[in-house]
Amino acid sequence: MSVSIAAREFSVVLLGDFNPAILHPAWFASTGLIKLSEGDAADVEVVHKEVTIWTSDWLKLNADKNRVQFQSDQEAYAGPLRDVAIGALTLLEHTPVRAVGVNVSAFFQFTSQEQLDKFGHELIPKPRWEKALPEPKTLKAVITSRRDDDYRGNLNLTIAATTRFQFSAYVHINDHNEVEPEAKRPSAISAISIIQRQWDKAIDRIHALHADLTGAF
Amino acid sequence: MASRLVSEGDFDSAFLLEEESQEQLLQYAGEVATSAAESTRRASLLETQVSVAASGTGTTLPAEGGVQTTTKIPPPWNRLFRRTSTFIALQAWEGVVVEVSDIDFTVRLFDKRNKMNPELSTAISIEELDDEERSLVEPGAYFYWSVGYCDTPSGRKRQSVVRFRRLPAWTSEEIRKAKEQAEDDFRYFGGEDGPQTAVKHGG
Repeated sequence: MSVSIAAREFSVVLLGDFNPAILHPAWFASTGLIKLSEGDAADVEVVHKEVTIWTSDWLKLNADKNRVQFQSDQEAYAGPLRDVAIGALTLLEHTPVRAVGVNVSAFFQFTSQEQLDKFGHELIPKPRWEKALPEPKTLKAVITSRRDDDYRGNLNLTIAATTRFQFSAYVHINDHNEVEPEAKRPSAISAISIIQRQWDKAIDRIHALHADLTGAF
Repeated sequence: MASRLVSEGDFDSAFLLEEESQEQLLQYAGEVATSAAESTRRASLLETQVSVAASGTGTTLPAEGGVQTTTKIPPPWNRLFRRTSTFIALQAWEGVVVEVSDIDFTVRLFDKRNKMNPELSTAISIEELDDEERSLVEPGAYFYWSVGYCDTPSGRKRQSVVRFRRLPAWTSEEIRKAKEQAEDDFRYFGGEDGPQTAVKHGG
């Protein structure tokens, strides 16, 4: 028995006060954070003072006035994704940032429907609910935890049903970090430190979970 | 309306729309063209979106764990353009350029999958890079290299991706820290009556 990883996804989410209009793909290209060709080819849904949404070959940006999400589902671009987020914060260092999420997701693929069902039952045992529900099934489970370091925030694990790959579950780990205000340091610079510090740990965390499940299924 | 198949398994999903035919999707698109409000209602009925964000900084994704990042409910015609390829890395390294010639560049590689593996040294052909990447090749440049496969509708393909790091110049914070460090070093080595001035050499 084994559990394989069918695909991985990565994202950095910033909470704060942002100006979505500046986050145009042309801005990223002109500052060298992405290639000029990527900026030209980006599929722009909207760029507005309230919201910006665009997609390039490997990067998806979704921003509003309080939240910016950099995301990639192309595993080869995990490092470049982190760099784009850090680069944008570097250039916009006086942007107030209140929280940073370093997120890693994976599609855990089981060998059979039975194994996937077994995993779902282990997550949420069904006998407890059978008196109230005729056929209880697990669609989504969220588990939260305190951090294992001295920083403010928490770790959130979400496991959800997915149809993207056969016999698979979508596993998402959100490493949520509060940005603590510092007198002499812009919060965006603190956010950069958080991303640099937590990135590898977030990836290692999902790999550890995968290794554990591989032993159990 | 085609049936929306739901497997019998515990991890089944109520969001399956794989059985939708293109004809139906086009029909939806047509309806959208005539009535945006109606299409939104249909979209919400067809594709209930569940955010997996456990907190404000979690990734916002549709229930299928797909790749759409929008917080809105995707209109039905988006399904005509759903993602068709996925890159899976079999091996991933980070590397530093040591030396550059006209035909290749010598690098040191660090295994990202198994950090216990020893550092490697190899040469990569310049031909591997597109013009924009080539402009970044110089000693000391940092890059990412992934080798894997890409699943596309036409089959699985081997793929190698080299991407050089793109970061802006120094931040004001980094400049401030460097200045502080330089001042500390200056004092340490005896500048402006620093600690080393107490050590007198010779007569």
